[in-house]
Amino acid sequence: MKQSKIAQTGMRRYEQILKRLYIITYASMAIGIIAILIGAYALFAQPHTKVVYVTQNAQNRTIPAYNIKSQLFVPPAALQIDPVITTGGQFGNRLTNINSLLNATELAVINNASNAYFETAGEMLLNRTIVNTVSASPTIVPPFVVNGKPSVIYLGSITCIFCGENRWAMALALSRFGSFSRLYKGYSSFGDGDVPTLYWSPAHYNQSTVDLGSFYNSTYINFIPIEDTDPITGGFALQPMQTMQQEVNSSGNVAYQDAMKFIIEINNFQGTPYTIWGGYNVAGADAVDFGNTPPTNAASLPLANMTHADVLGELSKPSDQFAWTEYAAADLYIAMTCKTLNNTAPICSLPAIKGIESTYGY
Amino acid sequence: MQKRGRVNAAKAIFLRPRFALFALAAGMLYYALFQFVAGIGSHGIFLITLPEYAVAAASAASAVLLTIAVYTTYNAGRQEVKKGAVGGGVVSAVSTFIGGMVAGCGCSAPLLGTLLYAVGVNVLGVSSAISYIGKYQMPIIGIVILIDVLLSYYYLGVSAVRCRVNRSRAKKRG
Repeated sequence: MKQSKIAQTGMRRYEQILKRLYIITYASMAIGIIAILIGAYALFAQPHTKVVYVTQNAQNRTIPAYNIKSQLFVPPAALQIDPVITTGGQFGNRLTNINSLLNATELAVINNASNAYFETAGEMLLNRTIVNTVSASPTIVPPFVVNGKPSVIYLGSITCIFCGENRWAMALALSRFGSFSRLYKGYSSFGDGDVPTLYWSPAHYNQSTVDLGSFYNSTYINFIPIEDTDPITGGFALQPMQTMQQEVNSSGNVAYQDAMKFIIEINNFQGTPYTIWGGYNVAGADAVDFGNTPPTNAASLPLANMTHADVLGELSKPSDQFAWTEYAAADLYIAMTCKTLNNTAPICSLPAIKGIESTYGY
Repeated sequence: MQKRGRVNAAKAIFLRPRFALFALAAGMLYYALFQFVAGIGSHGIFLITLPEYAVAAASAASAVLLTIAVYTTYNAGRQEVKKGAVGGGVVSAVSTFIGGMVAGCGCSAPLLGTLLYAVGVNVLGVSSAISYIGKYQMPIIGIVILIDVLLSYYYLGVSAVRCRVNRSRAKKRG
């Protein structure tokens, strides 16, 4: 009798659960199928980062062309609230020499790099002897013209590891069209590799704000860097674009305000670094260069165990895959800029740059 | 009573070598899936700021849910139960996918960005999503784990009730 009662109670509960199971089953399956379909779409729709040959994206939306006149923002040469830190630290949580200027010798490694290095790296890229990933799937955009020159626009974050790695290639590329009178030593955040990098201007490494401007001069192009900052001792962080836009607008600089508007109008931002090289918009870094072989996880990043002197030393006399990859990554940016400039800059006459332009379809 | 039933059901599942092995294999598979999805945003490199234990916990929770769901399907006599258990399996995979996507939301988030643009979100929305997901990665992963745990608890309840009913019927027949 008692067993029968237990069985009846159990059966009732069992039936109740079954009713609920119907709802859970179909809801779960519907969510699952939708998620898998969207996931599959996203996987196939996103740029193929490993593919070397580039397909230019068709532009179906209207992006307004800018042709403005404006002084470029001049950043402060030093920040009292975020001073140079000279004390040492362990790899992974060091801020040694953050915000300190590159000395003349160090600056010359960037400004006076031999064109032969760019040529060799470009040839290696074309004959596929670069082992690290170097690729970009640029979107065609109208050049952002300021004072009659097309611009290189950069939106990045000091906390981001890929921005940190990418700035080396960017600096090399930019040095072919002009020169830096100042560059600063920096790092990505502790939580995102703590890799040594260059800052375009002294960074607000303790605060959430936006750093604008650089000490770059060129007769061919403008360089408009917008750098999101957050505490460097944390992990990767990025302020929402509305916040960044408000901060850029508060600078009162028309070129930077319009550059921010331009990025929003392009409407394809998916993270940092985000760059525009004349008529080419590149989402993300154009290389994965953390050492002499492609990394597999965060623990295998030789760059995280290098100092600024190590990196500059390698770039001054490139002899390994790390250094050649940086030059090859710079070559892609150079080719995009050359195409925008109708190959009028001297660097554009390098055979490797011409080869990249034709092979990659720029 | 019900609690003890769930514990017994859990023992019945995970003390069987084949289901224990299945759980282990599922955990490894989900860990790999988590890494793959997280790596899409960082050029295939598993570069995340989450602690390793969070990734392991998320993979383990999904694997446990999948194992319980498979056990329920395996043992269920009625079609409704089988279907319900399949739903659990789907949720376990989806939760790993979402966990990986959230964990991979670092410097860039092409997967999340493509998804959001595809459903009509604009650049301001996408940048906010990257910003907030980057900021609240750990709590979001915690919620994903919690969903897995709650569903596992629920399915264990189904198995427990079924076990009791079967035992009662067996005794009655005996």
